[in-house]
Amino acid sequence: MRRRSNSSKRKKTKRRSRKKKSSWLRRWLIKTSLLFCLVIAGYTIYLDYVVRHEFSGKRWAVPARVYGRPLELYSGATLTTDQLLSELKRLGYTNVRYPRQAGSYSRNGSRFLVHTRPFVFWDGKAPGQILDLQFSGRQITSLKTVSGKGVGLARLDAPPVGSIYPAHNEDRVLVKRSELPEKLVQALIAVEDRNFYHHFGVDARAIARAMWANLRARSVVQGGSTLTQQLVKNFFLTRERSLWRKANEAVMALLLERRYRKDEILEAYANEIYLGQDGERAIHGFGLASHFYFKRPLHELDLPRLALLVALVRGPSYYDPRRHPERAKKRRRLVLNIMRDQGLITHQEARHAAAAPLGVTGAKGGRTARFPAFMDLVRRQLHRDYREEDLNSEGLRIFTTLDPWIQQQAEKALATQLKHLGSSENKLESAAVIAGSQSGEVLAVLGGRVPGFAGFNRALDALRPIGSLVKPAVYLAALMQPERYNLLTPLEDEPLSVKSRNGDIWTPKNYDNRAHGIVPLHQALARSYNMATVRLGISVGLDQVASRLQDLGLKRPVKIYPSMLLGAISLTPLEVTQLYQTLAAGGFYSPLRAIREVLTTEGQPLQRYPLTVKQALPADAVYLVNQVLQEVVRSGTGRALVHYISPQMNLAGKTGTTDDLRDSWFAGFSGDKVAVVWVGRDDNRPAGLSGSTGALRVWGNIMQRIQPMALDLLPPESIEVVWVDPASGLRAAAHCRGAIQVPYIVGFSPNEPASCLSKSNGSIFSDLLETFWNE
Amino acid sequence: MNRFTVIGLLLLPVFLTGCIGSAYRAGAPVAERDHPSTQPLPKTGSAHSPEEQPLPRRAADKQEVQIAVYTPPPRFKARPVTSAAVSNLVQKAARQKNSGDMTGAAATMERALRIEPRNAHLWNQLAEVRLAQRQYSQAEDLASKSNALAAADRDLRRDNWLLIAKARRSVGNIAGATLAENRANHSR
Repeated sequence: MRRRSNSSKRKKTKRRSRKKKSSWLRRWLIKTSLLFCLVIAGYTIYLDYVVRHEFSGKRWAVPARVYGRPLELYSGATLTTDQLLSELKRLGYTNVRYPRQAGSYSRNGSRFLVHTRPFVFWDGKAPGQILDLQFSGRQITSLKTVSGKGVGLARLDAPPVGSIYPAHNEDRVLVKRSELPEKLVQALIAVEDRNFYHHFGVDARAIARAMWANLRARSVVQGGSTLTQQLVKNFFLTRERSLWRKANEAVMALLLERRYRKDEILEAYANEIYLGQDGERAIHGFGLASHFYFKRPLHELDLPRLALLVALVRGPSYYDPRRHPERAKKRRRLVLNIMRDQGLITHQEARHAAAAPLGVTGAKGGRTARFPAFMDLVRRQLHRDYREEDLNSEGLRIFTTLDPWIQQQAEKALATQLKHLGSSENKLESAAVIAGSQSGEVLAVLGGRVPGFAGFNRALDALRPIGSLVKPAVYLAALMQPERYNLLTPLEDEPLSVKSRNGDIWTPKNYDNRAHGIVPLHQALARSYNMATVRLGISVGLDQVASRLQDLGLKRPVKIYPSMLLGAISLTPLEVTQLYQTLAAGGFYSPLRAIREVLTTEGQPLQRYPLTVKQALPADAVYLVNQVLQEVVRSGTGRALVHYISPQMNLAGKTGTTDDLRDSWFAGFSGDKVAVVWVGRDDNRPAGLSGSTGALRVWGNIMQRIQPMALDLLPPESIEVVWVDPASGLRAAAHCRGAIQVPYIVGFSPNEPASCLSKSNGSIFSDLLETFWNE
Repeated sequence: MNRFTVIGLLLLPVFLTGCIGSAYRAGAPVAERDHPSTQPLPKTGSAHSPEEQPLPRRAADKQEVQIAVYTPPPRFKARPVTSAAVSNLVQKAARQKNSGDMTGAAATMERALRIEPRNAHLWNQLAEVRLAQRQYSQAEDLASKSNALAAADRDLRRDNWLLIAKARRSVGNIAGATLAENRANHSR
């Protein structure tokens, strides 16, 4: 009993304590669940913030897209069929029997039908049209529409040459919901999320179906994620596979659906979905993927290509059509079959599409690394006016001066020549810049011997002594004193010693270690005689030479000491190009530009970088120097160019070599282009090449390939050409034996008649008259 | 050999002496030449060079000849030799200019210059656009550039000098404008 009573007592107390406990438990439960609810609510609010932030923020982060120059087509244009074909290939135009669709062309011998794409240029939208082009030799001989109407001028769409994207290497071509092809949307929904328009972000039935399928297959064969969930997953890019993440995803998907319309979600999805990898660059969105795989805009894709893009959603690397074409084809067939089963396409369409080739281009389209050296210049010029965030997120459209064809030809020329030059060691490096001689537009930049390699950009950053490339500035300074100097002024090419300010004695020598005695001024420059040049420069004045360099466009301060006369000034190839551009343009300085205009993502003009000129030097003295630079190529240190280019082109140029053959330079110009080439070694050790054995060959090969305009120098008003007896420098006439025609600045030609004139009537006028009668 | 040529040849020595005589004057302002000035002072002497001096041929063809110290030759409106492509663009630029779209007109002229970089007329028209935009210094440099490529096109040279005069006058450089006007008159 006691026991019992004891036990009943115990029971009572137990019951009491249980009662106590349960109320305590209840309170505790209420409290914790309240707390839990608070945490959940807080967390949900946090997730909601994240979702909104991601959705509105990241959605618009579109890198600036950079374009090269659009190819101009007109009757009379110098253009080869090869050039046109390479441009069409670059733009992703397809060769078809008849170009019904924009972005395609057909060819019949030297006749082309090209269906151009509509394109928004700086000056407005150009509609797509079918052009009928006839070639003959290296020219377009006729340009009309396919209906036979003459077309004065047309241009192809500008070739995309790269984009400026943020540090996390995401690239994108933004597409709007309205720009998404309906077939693509239908296929996507059919394959990935059949209930897209009806669920609230999560689709329980789809999950159940997927679990059942996975159970039966004993592996993960099907996902139950909605498009919304996939979008969320893509926003956060974690590869983690956990329940926690799944739950997060589901909550965020629900939040996203509450906040945004289905079409907004679909648009974000289409721009966000990960569809491939290009080295370090992630390919996001259908817009970019279309360029990446097919090299053409999304709206131009046919059914098999659209189906392939949808197929890639499930696993871009597993189904990579370039690496695993069979897997990609199989997956694409599955997509097509689903579309057929849903009644989106006919049986026949499905069969045809499944049999079609994958259609991916060999080279990866829309690559940014294609022209890294030029892009580097573009970026530097843009950074003067734009913030980095604007460049990599505002989707700006940047139109540059790059001519991809010239760039490619220059790359080929460089590769070919360097292979010949650097047979013993492969340490030889090179850089080159090509620009429009009258406009200052940069057409091509080569930063090193390996094209497409984004390393040290020698064209912009390699500071090397320029050697004899400086000499035109010395002679320009002299010829701007026409009362003292003209092309025939005798100069002394004899040894000399110059004492510099710090007491060092400098004894310049000629390249051939010989003294040439008394030589006419033009010859001293054409043959690049060092001793004559130093004597001339000292008598003209070092400060004068430095001023001329500044007039030519040098922005870097020049240290004034005698050895600068032989090019002990270190400049980059780009800076040298600026100096020679001013010469090529007849003394008119135009700052080298890589950008023409910047448009907003909608195509609104934002900024233009106009062509400007400044008369920096007198046209007559520049004309005289340029005459001698032509002589350099005709008979001076640049005469080896005859192996590359017809002498009738009259090109002008100058070789440059530095001590112990460390740097080999060539700078020069044609009627329309100026180019500078440097060859040497990064470690600054002797390369064993002079200007004429190294850089000249690369330069010649480049010019040979890009078919420049002949250089026809126009004498300015203040230049007169007179007959002169070269031995005495006295005035002569056409009939005098050995007389040559020499340009002078008006007022400074010789008046003293040479002996052949005084023999006749004694008057030079009667002699001139005589020559007239003889004509 | 017709009589005009004879007259021309007889006159030639006179012109040549004029040329040589004035040449020394041209050499006088050497100091200015050394200045990297954006406004090059015109060299007065060179305007008298033989190819600049108009021969009074056409005047003799007229039935009634008014007595004048100097009768200028009839002026042909300069007709630039351009491709259809470029004349298309020139027309477009003119339309843009008339509608007040100067930036567009400049862009169009630049496009034309890319096709024919050495066409002096195009440089002149770009200068006109810049003048209309009151970019006086740029207008003047562009006109000088046009002159450098104008070769023997006297009408174009005259246009350019007048444009330069206008640009200089607009910034208050009266002396420079007068010099340019003189050059324009000599270019006739």
